[in-house]
Amino acid sequence: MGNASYLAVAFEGILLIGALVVLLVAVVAGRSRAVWAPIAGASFLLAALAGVLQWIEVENGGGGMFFSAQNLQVIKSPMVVLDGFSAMASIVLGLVGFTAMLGSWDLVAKVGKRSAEFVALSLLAFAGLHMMAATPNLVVIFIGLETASISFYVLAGFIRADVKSDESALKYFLLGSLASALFLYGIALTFAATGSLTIYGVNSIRDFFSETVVSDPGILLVGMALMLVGLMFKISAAPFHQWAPDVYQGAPSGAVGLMAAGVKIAGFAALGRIFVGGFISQIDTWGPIVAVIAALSMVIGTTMALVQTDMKRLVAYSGVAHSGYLLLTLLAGVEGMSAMWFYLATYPFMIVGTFAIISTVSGPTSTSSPIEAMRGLSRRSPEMGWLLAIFMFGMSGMPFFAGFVGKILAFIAAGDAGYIWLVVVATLTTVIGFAFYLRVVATVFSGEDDDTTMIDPTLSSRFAVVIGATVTVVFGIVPWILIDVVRDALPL
Amino acid sequence: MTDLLWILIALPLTGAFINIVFGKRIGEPLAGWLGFVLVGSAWAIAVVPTLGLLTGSGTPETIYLFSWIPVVGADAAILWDPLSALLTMIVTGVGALIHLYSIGYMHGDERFARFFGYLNLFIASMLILVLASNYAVMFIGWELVGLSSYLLISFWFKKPSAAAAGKKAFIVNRIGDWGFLVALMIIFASFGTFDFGVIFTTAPVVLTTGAATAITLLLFLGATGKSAQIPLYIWLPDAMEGPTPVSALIHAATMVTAGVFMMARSAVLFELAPISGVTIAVIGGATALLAAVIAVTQMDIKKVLAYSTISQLGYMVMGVGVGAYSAGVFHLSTHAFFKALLFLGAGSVIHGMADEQDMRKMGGLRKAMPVTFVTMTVGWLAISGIFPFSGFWSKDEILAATFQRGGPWLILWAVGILAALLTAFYMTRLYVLTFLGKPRWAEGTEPHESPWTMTLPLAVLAVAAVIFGVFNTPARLAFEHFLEPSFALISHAEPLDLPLAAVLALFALVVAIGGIAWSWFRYNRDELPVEEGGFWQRGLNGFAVDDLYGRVIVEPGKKVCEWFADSVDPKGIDGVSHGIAQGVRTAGDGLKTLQSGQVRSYAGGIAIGAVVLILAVLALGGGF
Amino acid sequence: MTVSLADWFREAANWAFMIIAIPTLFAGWRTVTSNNIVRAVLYLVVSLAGTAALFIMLGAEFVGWTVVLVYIGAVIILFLIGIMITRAPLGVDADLSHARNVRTPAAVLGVLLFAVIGYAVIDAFENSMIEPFEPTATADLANLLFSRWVIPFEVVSFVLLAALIGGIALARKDDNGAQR
Repeated sequence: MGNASYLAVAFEGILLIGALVVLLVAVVAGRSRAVWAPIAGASFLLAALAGVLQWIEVENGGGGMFFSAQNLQVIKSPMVVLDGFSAMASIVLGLVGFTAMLGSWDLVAKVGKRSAEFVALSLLAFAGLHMMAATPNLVVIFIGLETASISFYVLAGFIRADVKSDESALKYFLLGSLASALFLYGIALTFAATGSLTIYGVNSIRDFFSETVVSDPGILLVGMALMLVGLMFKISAAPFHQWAPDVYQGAPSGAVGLMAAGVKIAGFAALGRIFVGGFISQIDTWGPIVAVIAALSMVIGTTMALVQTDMKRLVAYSGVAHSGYLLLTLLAGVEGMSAMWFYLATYPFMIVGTFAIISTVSGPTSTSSPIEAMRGLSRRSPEMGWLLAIFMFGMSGMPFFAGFVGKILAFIAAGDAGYIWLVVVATLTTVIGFAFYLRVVATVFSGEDDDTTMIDPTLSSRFAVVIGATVTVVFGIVPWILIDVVRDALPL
Repeated sequence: MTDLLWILIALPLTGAFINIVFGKRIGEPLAGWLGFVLVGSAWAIAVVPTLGLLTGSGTPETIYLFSWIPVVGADAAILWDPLSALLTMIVTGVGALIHLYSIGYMHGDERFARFFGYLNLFIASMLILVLASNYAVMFIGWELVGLSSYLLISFWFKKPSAAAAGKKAFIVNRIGDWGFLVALMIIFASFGTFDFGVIFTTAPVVLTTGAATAITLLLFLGATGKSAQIPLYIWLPDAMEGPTPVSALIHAATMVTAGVFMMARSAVLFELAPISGVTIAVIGGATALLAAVIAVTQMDIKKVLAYSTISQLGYMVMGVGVGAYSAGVFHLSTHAFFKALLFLGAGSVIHGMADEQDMRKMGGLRKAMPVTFVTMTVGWLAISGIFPFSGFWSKDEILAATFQRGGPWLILWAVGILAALLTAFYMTRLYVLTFLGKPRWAEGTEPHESPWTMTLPLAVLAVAAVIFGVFNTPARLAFEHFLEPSFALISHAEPLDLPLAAVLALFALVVAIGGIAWSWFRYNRDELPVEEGGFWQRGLNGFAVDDLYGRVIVEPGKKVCEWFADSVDPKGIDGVSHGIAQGVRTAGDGLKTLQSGQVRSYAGGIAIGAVVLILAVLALGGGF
Repeated sequence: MTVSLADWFREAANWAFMIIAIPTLFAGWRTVTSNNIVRAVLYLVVSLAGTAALFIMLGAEFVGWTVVLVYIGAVIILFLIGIMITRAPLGVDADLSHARNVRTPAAVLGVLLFAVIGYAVIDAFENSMIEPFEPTATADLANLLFSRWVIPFEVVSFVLLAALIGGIALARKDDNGAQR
């Protein structure tokens, strides 16, 4: 147990301590938001900083597996893994969490007494999300998933007075539990088939594949399939996506960015960890299925987004399509991981920024946000209007925005893996997708001149949006900075 | 010197930024002058290196700027060769003149500065497109050009027809862009890079004929969108809803030539795919003829010019199809001058007639608008193909190249000649109905000449339309030699024998004069011929192609979309609000909806998905 | 090593298994189909008790008693109290019975899911006998839990903490009134 092992769990540790401090301060020093704003912000930033330290440690060869029971000098069942993959997850989740928290601050300010709980839950949720990326143990992945999910169920229903928020939370809870159950069952069956719960290490799933000729793979395959279903639900890939638009719309606007961005990052991190890290030798089995799911997600997400009238539903469906693009990177196996991290390091910022703007325009507690509400935004709040346009361009994959580079890298990953038909579908949906993103932009820049109800965004949401837009633009113009970094964000 | 070429793009980009962000504070007319000066200086900067290429003191080169996505061979670099130099000169030159013209034309518009911001953005995008040294950057330019054209067409978005036209242009171009994008993906899959240099030098080795055919046909699909060819030409006539300088700059002189430019740039690939060549030539010829027929029946002065543009683009595409790339590019250049001239002239007429666009309500404007009249005469003769105006030389060269291929290509040549006859006919019709004869003005109209900012560009363009053609005559192929380095990698056909070329040219001239004479005597009368029969009516509607597309593609598409939305996501569009509204109404309890369907059906969906997925995994993994 | 059907019946444990499993299955079925919510909960108790008994039969003593204590002892009681202190209808509730058009596809789907997973499991183990092993002592389990599995054990506290905070957050009232 060296220092590295503490570093490996630093992200979770910092956020957990942050959450506890927030709760304690709430009890001891009264309920003043001014106190826990710095605590929450500092926790996320420190966590991201820990991620940077982890990254440096990994670059210097200090990565590895930790918290294993040492039994007769054999390292068994490690619980935490420190590699480029998990360090990158720390950095991205820390920074996205920080930005998303800024975007949610309007909501925090509105929920009065309960704001401490909101902040603590967000911190806990992100700790759980990172666990999904930083453990080789399937059970710990599941626990991390549940930590995040339970927190997010509550955040979705945070506005008790609004029946839509209640409905959203309950829907998310019921369906999410179903997906979690399937995922857990998948883990159980995998354990039954391989006799192991760890992806790496001695007696791991990877060892099982390299040492055993799988003659009768039925139960293993079902286990794999169920784990896929569970994670596909979390990243809202079609056809497991139907909850997303309803939940996004029903949840308070201020909380959605936090949920949507966080789940996307961790869901894909877990997919990468399990399927590229552990089941890479079975890629011929799960590859085609992931390809079909990707195609379905892109087509359904894009088509449904075309007919939406609500901003939040539109972003939800666009998120379904983006899950499809992100799935392309999985198909290339380990080579695709850097493309995946490029995407995950940029796209979530666009989600967070967009929802910060939605929350500013429609109100942080609002449970619907018609696109029409954006009409004339470029005049009512020029900065928000322009920055929303940047996010829309970024998501649509317009050149010179980060989304474009992310998509190109994903397309190339899929092309390298031999899925040319999928690339054709992806380009087609990308091109069709321009239509609804630009419709939003057009709405923002149109409208009658007499509609001059000015919108004055708060300082925190301004920060959130500016950070998001900076990421979107900078990594669109000078993407190689990030490309060079994510090249090392590989699982062990 | 060439190291500083990035300034070319930076200048209009700066203008776009300043005018869009601070436009309101700068105000009229300063914003316009700013835009004009920036584009004009870009032109001036480009002159010297272009002369360098022309005189042979400079060589084509790639100027590396910064690395963008190095993994895919997509660096920000400028490819400076005769082809890009020529297009740069046209884009900045014509562009600057149109900026100047717009200062007068857009006078009094409430979003004056914004307009110049968009125009500058367009120039910058177009320069990115033509100066790109790899397909990725070219695609960026391509998309930005599409975006700025969308912004400009729907500039007067409060007019529903303008907003609709912008939307139509946008959607139709998406289809083409898709083709382009897929072509790029296949290119990348084949070459592993987007870089022009690598692709063009290794293409004959790397590509099979099949792959080359697929790539080029997809590239051509992209070109049919931007360059308004069958079947995607339908957006261009509607795009005339934009301000007239926009029509002149974008939809005549520069943007629509992007497709032709892209194909000329990819000439090496097209050389490898003979089948694509035939397809392209035939579609180009068919477009030239169809658009010319429609142009004959139009009454709106701008619509005539719009269809005329489509028709002329058909010529250029035909030139590319028959492998006469420099001829195609030459026609592109001459057309840029005379069509910009014609559009600006038409704009001047519309301006003077208080926004009247119907030619039946014009006539006799020759005295009221002398400068416009004279310059339009030049444009008219140039496009009709009268010796020695520029259109004569460039059109003739494409036709000669087609003729030279012999065999069935002669049919295509005949189509081209027929289209030339019709071109002369409808242009004369436009000219006569507008400027000659008796005034048929609506009451209270007092036509007046436009301000100097509008007439000066007309004059400059007229001079160019007269003299530019002599750069490339069958006797003296200066232009072709100039472009040679850009087409160094493809085989060249031997030039036609001079006597045969002269005979062909003479024949084309006779046809053009015939068309002019026919039209002149038909329209230069006090009593206008009645044009209401079946042919005229159908032609006026563009032979109902829009309706056809509507019935065959759009309606079924909508149905499919609706069906999709209904069946894939039963409560998709406004799910929560619907479910909730009902729930609240019936029981005052929103959770009621949870019991009455949605969650249950969603969970069912997850279960079905899980079953299918398990079965698929079992099948693929050999679990059965 | 494989077993024949006759061998199977000769084994007393198998009879015990059937005696426990059939009522468990029936109770599960009634839990879903009962129109009376209180009855449904009571059937659930039977079903859970059966599961606990099966665990004990398998030698997983600790898990079995955990099911009894946590689920039957705590969760179900909470259910019942919840039903009684809210104004949920105690008698037969027509809303609870599903319409026939929903029932059939749901049943088909359930059977299908069962068939697929069941097929895979049976296919994997067929009728080979798994070596019997000693029942797991609770002490061994505790040893494992606090050595090899200490990290997951600690991490579970995250989940509980999140659930606790979530419960409080949802239950307490805002001081500055409700927002719409």
